[in-house]
Amino acid sequence: MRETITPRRALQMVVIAAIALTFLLPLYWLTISALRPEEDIFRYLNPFGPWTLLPNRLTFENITELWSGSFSRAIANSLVVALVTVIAGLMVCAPAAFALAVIDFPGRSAIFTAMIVSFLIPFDAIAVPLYSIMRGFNLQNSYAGLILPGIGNGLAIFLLRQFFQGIPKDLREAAMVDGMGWFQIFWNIYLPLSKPALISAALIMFIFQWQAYLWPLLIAPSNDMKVAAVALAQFSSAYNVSFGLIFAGAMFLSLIPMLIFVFFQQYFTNSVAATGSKE
Amino acid sequence: MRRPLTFVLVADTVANFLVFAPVNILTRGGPQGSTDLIMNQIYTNAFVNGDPGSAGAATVVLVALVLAIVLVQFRLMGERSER
Repeated sequence: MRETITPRRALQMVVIAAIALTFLLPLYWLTISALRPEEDIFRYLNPFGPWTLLPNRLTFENITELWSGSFSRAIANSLVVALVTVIAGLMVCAPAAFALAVIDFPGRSAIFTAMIVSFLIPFDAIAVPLYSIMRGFNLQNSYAGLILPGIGNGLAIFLLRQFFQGIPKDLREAAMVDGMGWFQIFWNIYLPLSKPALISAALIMFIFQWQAYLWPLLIAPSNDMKVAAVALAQFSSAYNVSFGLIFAGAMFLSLIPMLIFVFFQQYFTNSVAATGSKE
Repeated sequence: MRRPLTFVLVADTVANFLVFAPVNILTRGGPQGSTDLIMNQIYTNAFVNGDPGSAGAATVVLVALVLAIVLVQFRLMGERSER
């Protein structure tokens, strides 16, 4: 059925579009600045005129210079760290969330509270003591050192637990009557019903690693192991700030998670509706 | 929607209590501390004023405060009653 467009509806759509454009504006400015010659980036900012937002000279020199350096290695490091974190993290967080949501065991609420506290503590506050622990295991400049702190993600466990609790109890009771064990219930019933939540949790963990700065800077500062965020920051040093490279690098750093998000967005549409039970 | 809403409420509350980078990058808490937030204060104490003890204490207080707020939120969203 097609919706008729009333004036009120049209106004709503215009307002929504305006808000969406406002959110896109910084991203747009970032992109065109990356494609400008370096000396043009700040040239038209003040006074604000048409050339602030419309590039009059386009060039790919920032981007080619960016990829000819060590930045590609840093992007590859970031991708490896983020993807391994997502896979290992889901393997840890989903069963943990299942246990917290479904299985009634002694001490459950205490463990749940401890898990909530784990994401209340700012990561930056534990980074330094965590560094000395990791150094004890000799994990500096290694993927393991970068990945391990991201695996047990309290926020992802919390998200998944909330979702698992929303899955009707009848389903697992029926499965238990038919003789399924906990693991089978988890694997065959809960996971297939939870795709949107699993994707959200995966994105949380991906972004956690993708934007991580302080931890990679501490644990993996060597040229071979540094991640993209650290490499980006190093384009500005005490002697030289190369804004062309910073803008081009920032563009790729924001582009990659966006592409991943757009790709997975299709799975968000068929969400909770698919549990097949009336309550 | 109550359960997803609980998640959004708690996650958003925590994220905004722990805001640090924008303050540090844009204003460093100034002018006269008018845009200072607790995390920036803690960072300044630890790494600018060289007083990690008071920064650690402030972190503990911050976590206790946020935990109290989150527990109230859980209570208000009716987390306890359901099993």
